[in-house]
Amino acid sequence: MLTTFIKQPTSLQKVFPVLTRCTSLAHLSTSTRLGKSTYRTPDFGNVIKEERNSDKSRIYTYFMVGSLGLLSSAGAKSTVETFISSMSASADVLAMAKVEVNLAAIPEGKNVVVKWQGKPVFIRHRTPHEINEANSVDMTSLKDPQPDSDRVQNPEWLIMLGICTHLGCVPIGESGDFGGWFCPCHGSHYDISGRIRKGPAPSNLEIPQYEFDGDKLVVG
Amino acid sequence: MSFSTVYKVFFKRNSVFVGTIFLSAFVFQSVFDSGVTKWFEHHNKGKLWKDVKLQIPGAEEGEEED
Amino acid sequence: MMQYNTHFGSKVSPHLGRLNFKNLFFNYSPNLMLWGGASLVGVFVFVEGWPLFQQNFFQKIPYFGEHWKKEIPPEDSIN
Repeated sequence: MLTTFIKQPTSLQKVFPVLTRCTSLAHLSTSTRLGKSTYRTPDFGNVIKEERNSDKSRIYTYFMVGSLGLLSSAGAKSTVETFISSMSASADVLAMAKVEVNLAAIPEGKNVVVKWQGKPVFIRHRTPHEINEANSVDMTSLKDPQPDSDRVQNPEWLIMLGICTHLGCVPIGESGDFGGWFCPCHGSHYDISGRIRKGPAPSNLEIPQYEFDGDKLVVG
Repeated sequence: MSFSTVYKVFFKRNSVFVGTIFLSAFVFQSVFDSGVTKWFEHHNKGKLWKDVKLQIPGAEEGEEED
Repeated sequence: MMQYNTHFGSKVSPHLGRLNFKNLFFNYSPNLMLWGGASLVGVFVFVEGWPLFQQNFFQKIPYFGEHWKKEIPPEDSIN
């Protein structure tokens, strides 16, 4: 078995012819040692475990893998959260997010403009006549049809953003062809409900979020 | 608890393994957060608003910020 | 041409690869439920800082939920 193995020229013997010479010499020898394998089996006795249970090293490996997963998921979450929370409003912005107005100081038929988040907010205490006028408008004649009841919580009070929906000028109160607001920039006319009636503006004046708290109005 | 039990309970099913990782990540986050906060507040004792507030006279009532 | 009809025909039950209704329920469902739980906790990891989830779920965890309860004294609160 060994001799047949030796006779075949291995790649090693091609590279080192001296090996071939040595083995062929050994082949000629009649020593009995050659009949046996000259390979010595290493003795692993001192490293073999008593009980051959691999679970200890296994849970060590899995624990390490799991810890990496734990730290990466916590880290990924925190990274994502940092980016997302950078988009939300900071505390100083939130502090300016609401504005309170005392409605008792506004007589009927008067306009008040307050600043909310850097934008003007129109507050109009409407007279019963104006409420009737706002309700009697034919919907089909409107560019952006919206009944007056959709635009007010309490018909006496009209609260809306004072920014022309055309190019963002601030309309002038109590003027225009429809008794409401008139934008001097490009001549948009808004009626007493803040709806666009004439001019280039595409839609009605926007309504901010607001609520009544007794005599107070909280915008925001 | 032997190692085999630990292996069988936590690691054998991948779903349990992943679930355990997420659960411990959830616990780890808040523990880590409160740990770091506690250390930070200890490290900056006296400079924080809650400490400074007590030294401002009349800060308890009618605080007006401009 | 004669046509023979027999009642004993072979039919294949509906399946998707190795999955069919029987083993989906009896063999896979425990594992699928565990995966569901794992992904729920995974979602919780990622929404830990979200106030909506903090108020609805995390603050209600007994003892541990105190971590998400932040008390701001009224004189310090905005608005």
